[in-house]
Amino acid sequence: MLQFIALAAPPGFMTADATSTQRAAREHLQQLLAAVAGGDRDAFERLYRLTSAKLFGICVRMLPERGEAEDVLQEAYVAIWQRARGYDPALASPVTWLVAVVRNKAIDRLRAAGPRRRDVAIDAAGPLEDEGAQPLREAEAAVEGRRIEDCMNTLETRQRDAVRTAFWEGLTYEELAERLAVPLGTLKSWIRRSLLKLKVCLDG
Amino acid sequence: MAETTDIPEGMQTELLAAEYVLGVLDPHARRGVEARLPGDAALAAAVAMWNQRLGALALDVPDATPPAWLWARIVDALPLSAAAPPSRTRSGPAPAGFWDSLAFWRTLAGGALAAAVIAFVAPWRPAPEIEPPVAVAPAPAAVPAHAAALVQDDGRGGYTATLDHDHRLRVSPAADPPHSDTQVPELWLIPEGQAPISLGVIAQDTTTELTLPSDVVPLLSAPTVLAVTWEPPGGAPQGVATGPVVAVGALFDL
Repeated sequence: MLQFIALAAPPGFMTADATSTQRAAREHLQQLLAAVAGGDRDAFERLYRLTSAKLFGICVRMLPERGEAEDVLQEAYVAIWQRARGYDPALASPVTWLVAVVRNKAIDRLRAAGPRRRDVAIDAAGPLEDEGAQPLREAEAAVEGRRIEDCMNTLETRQRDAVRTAFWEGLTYEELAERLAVPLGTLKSWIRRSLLKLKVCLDG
Repeated sequence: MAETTDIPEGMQTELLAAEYVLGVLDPHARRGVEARLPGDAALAAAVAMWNQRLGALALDVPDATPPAWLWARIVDALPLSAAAPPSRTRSGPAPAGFWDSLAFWRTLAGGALAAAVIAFVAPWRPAPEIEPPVAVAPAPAAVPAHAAALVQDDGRGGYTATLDHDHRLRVSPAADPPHSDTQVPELWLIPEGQAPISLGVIAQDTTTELTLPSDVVPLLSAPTVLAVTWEPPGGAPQGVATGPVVAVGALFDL
């Protein structure tokens, strides 16, 4: 199914393959970011409406306390407004940029607050099983997500869980070792080997 | 700083970047990486690549709708006191911060995550009011100047459109028109190479007649496509289409 974004494509787009549809989607976000860089409030609001549900999903996952997640989302969008000038549409995926801004804000918040306990155990939570809960994930767009999941699945279970927990909870090596009850050296070795395996898998 | 034991030779920078992006560095090491980034192109490039690699993990998370008041809070928090808005030209003095560094983002080679862009396309909130064009019975036709056959994805007819010399546009559904109980069809005009322009919501079952806005008429000198999308009742919010394409066709001269 073609999403609205396909409309930004030039005539003939109905015959376009998924790649050009994605390119059109990417270009639309890039145009919004460029307008935001120019101080365009309307573009900023449109960007917010298009992306805030996904970015807030990331905030909520990383910071289960709702108020903190809201604070971080606010900080992230203020940063997006301020830093949009530093984003060059010709050079980077807007998604990469937006996700990195949000995760950085979330990690900073987690660091500032120090170690914390979670009420909800999400450590080993995998990707969402229920595709129906992600109606917006287009089949062709899921490919990239599948790729990282496929590569994650090449890791041993405990190591994969360690990477996932680190990614979502922003735990330091020390906190992660304590959480998983493994020696610090072992944990560092797990994470580093896992990261190198992921690099080989994703780049291959 | 990360330990260097157990790390393959030549991989220290790579791993430090990966650890930074993953988020396992302690605050001191984390700040250390950020301090190095503006002057260390190799490290910055590695961080950019890891943002791209690991960022895809974040897209598996379910969407969550932020509370409606949060937008107002964000607007309030924007630094408006600055003397001038950000420059569109980027010709001013470069900001010093790492995140503002164009060089950093320049290191991103391409879009491993581009394919995931569409996952970001969220439906808009309930629509602001858009005045719908009036649905009318088929009018005695003026002499049409242009026409378009809008076909559906499966090749079946969706709508036909005619445009006369007075810029009256008539859009009629096919015999077995696309139908939705929950959404409304909205008509778009897409001059080649330009963003879609909303012509408003049209009727599902009968001919809709409207006059092209005068600022749109000059755009017809370029090859132009008409398209219909499904939109929430009231039409696409703020003139940006959100729904799937129902039918599309090129406007041609008669």
